[in-house]
Amino acid sequence: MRVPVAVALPLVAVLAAWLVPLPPAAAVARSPQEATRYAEDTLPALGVPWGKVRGWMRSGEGWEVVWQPSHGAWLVRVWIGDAPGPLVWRLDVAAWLSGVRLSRAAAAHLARAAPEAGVARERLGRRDWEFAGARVAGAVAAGSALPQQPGSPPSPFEAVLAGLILAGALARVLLPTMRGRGWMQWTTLGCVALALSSPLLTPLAARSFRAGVRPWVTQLAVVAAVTLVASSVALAASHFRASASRPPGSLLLLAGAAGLLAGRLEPLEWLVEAAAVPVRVLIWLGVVGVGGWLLAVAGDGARALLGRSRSSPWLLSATAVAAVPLAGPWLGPVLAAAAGATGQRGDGPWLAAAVLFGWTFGCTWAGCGWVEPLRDALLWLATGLAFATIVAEREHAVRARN
Amino acid sequence: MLRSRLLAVLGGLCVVLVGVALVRGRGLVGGGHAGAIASSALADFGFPPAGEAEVTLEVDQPLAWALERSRPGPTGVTLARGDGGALRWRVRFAGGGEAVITEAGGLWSLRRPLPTHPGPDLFPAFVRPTFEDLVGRLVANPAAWRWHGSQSWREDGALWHRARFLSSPVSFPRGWRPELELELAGSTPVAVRHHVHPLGTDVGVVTGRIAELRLLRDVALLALGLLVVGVLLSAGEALAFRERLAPGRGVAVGLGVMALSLMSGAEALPAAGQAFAAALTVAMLPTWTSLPRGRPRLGVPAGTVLALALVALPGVVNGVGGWMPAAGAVPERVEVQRLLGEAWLPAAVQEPLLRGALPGLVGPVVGWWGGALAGAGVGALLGPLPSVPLVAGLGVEFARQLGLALVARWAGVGGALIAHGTSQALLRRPSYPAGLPWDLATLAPVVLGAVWFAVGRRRP
Repeated sequence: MRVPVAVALPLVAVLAAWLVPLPPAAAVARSPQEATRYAEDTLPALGVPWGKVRGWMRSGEGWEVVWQPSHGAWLVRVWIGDAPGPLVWRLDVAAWLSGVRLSRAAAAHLARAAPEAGVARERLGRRDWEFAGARVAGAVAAGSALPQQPGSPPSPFEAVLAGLILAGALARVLLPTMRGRGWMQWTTLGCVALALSSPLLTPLAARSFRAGVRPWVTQLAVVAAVTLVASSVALAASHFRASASRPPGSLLLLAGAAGLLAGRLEPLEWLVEAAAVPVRVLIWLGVVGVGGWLLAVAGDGARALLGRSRSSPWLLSATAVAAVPLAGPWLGPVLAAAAGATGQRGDGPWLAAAVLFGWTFGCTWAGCGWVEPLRDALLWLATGLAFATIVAEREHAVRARN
Repeated sequence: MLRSRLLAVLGGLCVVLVGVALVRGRGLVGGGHAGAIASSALADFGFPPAGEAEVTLEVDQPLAWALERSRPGPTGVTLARGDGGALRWRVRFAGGGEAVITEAGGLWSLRRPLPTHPGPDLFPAFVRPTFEDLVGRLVANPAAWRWHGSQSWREDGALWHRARFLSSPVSFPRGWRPELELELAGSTPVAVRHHVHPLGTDVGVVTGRIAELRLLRDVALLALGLLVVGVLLSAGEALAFRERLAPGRGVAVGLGVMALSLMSGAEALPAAGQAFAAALTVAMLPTWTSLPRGRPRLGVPAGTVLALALVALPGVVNGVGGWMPAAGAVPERVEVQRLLGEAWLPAAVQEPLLRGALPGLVGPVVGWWGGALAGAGVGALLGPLPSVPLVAGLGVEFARQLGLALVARWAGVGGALIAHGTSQALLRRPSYPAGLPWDLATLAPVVLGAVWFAVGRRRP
């Protein structure tokens, strides 16, 4: 009774929210690579070489793409809207780079701006000017401020999940059950996938690139950070091991469907950005392997905190249902943690991973409007369905034998 | 027995001698004479200063390192502290007037209060001889300065003139431009100021490396954060299973870290965070049974030897065609407590985490040395100096961390902590003023440690 309530109720809620009041988010029409090509073809020469594309990120209703030459002395950022419209660009130049000290009138003429509003900033060997809607760095027009999206307020669900992970880790040590090796290996595999693909993940750290810092150093820092986190999770997975269990075949499909609908409802922007990376399948594998284990730990934490009362599955279900309108793009992980808290302890990682599996597919399906990630996502879905079917069949055979 | 005791005494004596050799003659000079030089310069300007002189240090560290890079070796250091004006003492007199004196004792800038009657206004077209005459009185080599231009304006009832002189001294690297600026109000000279316009690429290399190292430091901080989470979980586990802890030692180290942080000028909240992490880790140390046994009396000798080796490494980097500054950054505040904080705070926070918690936590999977190497890698990102190429500075810092890992293997976490603090104090000493208080703050732990090493009881 516990599992169907905790998984089915949120599933119904997500389905209802998706079908009736909230239409699914509009998919991003073009990939950042297409947006990059469009920007390079459309924008005039900026007076300095752009360098290579270093990263991209979603910013409002468009892509923000970052170019930087290998010496790192400057950085070009361009915002390319999803809808046709003018491109917005900005040139950031290292403070030490020499230039000229233009007068207000000359700088205003260069920036095609009204001189009255100009604010000068003295640098080491040049003078920068900032006008309303235009900037000048030395003697080079430096574009304008990019459209800033108001940051979403921090979701309480993130903090709750972090706290539950800590509680769950302790619970796994204090309330030991038969420990399995399977999930440790799955999580390690996910960590290895993330660490191996980390050199190709640097475009996702577009915010880290700065003028004056050479791009290889930024990329090295990103690779080191990803490897560090992946190694830590792998070590933690070997210490806070999941319980030994067979995957609950019939429930995997249900959990996967809940995750799929959650992702479809409001895709996580990071997964849309990640879908543009060639090694997207490795990233999905990492998300499912690592995230499944971590959220199962959170589920164990929730289970330990709620105890064995009769009301606990209803409480979990209520939390998951409340997350549907409140958790936003974190709905998938919240559902995964709720699913991880239901049923037997050993089933938690399987259910959480199944939710995340469906969620990655749902996010990609809803968020990406270009063909490559959709093609890979279909293959990903087929693999997952085949796995769940084989597991369910085997479970059925075992039951029949018994 | 007697022989080994004699050897220990000799060893302790050597440690003290090495410590004294590393400290003797080091430190920023000029602070003591800056007041007299400033007073004399103001008197020459027709304004004998009155009242107490307040002397503060001003540092333009990127400029100093850029000069060091452009003129490798001691020439660059001398230039940075002299004509380059990267290290200077600002002297403010209570009765008005201030002057800035370079670390080498030269006049960098000076400003006197505007007199009530600044004298008759000079006609702008005829100010040049007056300024040239002034340059002849103020600078050592007036022929090196050539007239660049002047501007005039009326303010506070007087006609002001500002003149600029340029120079191309051979001591400066190519592309660097020293400038001398003088101001007259009426016919009274009121200000003189030196400027150095550096070559952008020279400064760019240094500031770029500083920014890059800051970015890499963020990765190390992430590692330390993950480590603290690991320690926190282990602490929960240890409490639940009633394992043997060291709460007293933890509280003592935590209080020490808090005091050192506050002495270094840190804010209360980050200081409390560091103190909590250090206290928790030290309290947890007995639970990681794979850690080597502590022999803290070996810490000071090991730290002194480490400092001796590390002093030579920048020279090696410079010798093979790279570049690395000879000494660390000079802090804005140069009080004794700041030196103590800079030396012992990183030791008290990093050593328990990198040489204790990390090998303790990952030891079951990768062994003690695996953990120690990972700790050395993380520590190498925490405080390297800018260098060309970047990996040279990281390599030097990694060598230091490896040395500390060796000490930890030999003398335990306590020994590594003391070695880290001792070596850091000896290495940071040149960035503080020359003087007995700073020498004492550096050498007192060395002497105490040497005595402990010589006469302390040795464990079997």
